[in-house]
Amino acid sequence: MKFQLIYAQRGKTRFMHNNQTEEVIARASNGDLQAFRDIYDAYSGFVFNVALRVTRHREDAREITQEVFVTVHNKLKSFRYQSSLRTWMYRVTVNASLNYIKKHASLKSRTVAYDDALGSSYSRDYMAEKSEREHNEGVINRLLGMLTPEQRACIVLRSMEGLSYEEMADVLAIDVNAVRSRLKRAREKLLSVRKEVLENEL
Amino acid sequence: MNCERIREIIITDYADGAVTDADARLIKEHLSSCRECRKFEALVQSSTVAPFQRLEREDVPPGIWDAIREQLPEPAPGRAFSLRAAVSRLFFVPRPALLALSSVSICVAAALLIYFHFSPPGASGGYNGTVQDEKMQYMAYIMGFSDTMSGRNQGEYSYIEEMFFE
Repeated sequence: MKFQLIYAQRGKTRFMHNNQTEEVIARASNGDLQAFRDIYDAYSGFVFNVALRVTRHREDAREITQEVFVTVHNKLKSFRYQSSLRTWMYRVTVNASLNYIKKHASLKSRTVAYDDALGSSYSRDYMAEKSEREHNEGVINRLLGMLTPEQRACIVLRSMEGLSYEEMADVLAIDVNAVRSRLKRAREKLLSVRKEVLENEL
Repeated sequence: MNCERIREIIITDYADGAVTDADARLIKEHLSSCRECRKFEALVQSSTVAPFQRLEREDVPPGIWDAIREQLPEPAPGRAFSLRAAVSRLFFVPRPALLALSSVSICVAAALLIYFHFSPPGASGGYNGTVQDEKMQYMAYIMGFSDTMSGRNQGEYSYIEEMFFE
């Protein structure tokens, strides 16, 4: 029986939390590697992308994705179905990303500064040849870099992953009003830095 | 609502399409008459929402699964095909259904226990004594235990009984 999960695309579709999902979880927690591979195939897309946007580094996102799935594998037996597997995976991913940033804070602050300096010094030469997608990517990366990791997580969950405020509250373990005020502060910050970022990118 | 309150909603619920229809109407009415708030709303959409929504997901780099696989504990030999696992898969009941089923069974068992424990024979609602006596007599008749009902005197045997005993 094939494990059917629907990929979350901008919140328009949802992962189904049904008996089949529970059966796959039960099998995976009993050591069935194929069942766990099915879970990986269904969820690794958003795990990697959330980690990528929160940390802004591919290598970090890679490590975090590995860490998330090893953690999930070890804790599947204690998964109590109080929330959907998807919500739980988002929570584990966001926590792993934020912890990773804290753990590597001093190292990363130097690396990010270096990356940004490199980007701006080369931007004038080859920005004109960049496709719109790449340009947008650069703007986004810079905008996200202006936010705190917690604010980044909020923007990523809402605008990229399409989670509702209630789902975000569940993932971030805060109440809905705290979600609202965190989003508000993040967007106000984005508004205040957008000129600087856009000028740098053009 | 003043402009400050309107902008608070614009930058959160309105930008995320999470306002009620009534609030959305109210804000649209305000926007149609307030140029500054209109500019603010356009800026919020173009600078804080749209660029992130346009962003495409990146493909998961190859090799991550193999790295994860190396970190997972080795399954015990034959564990995946063990009889126990096969049986548990066969009789797998989803946790919520199992919970509901157990609750119902416990309630029914408790109700039956209370019912039989506290209802003496012949009490209203239990077995009726008269009916029980009649049943007993009928059973005795069917099984041929009642001499009075069969109309025989003691010592008399039926034809078949005589075949065996005499």
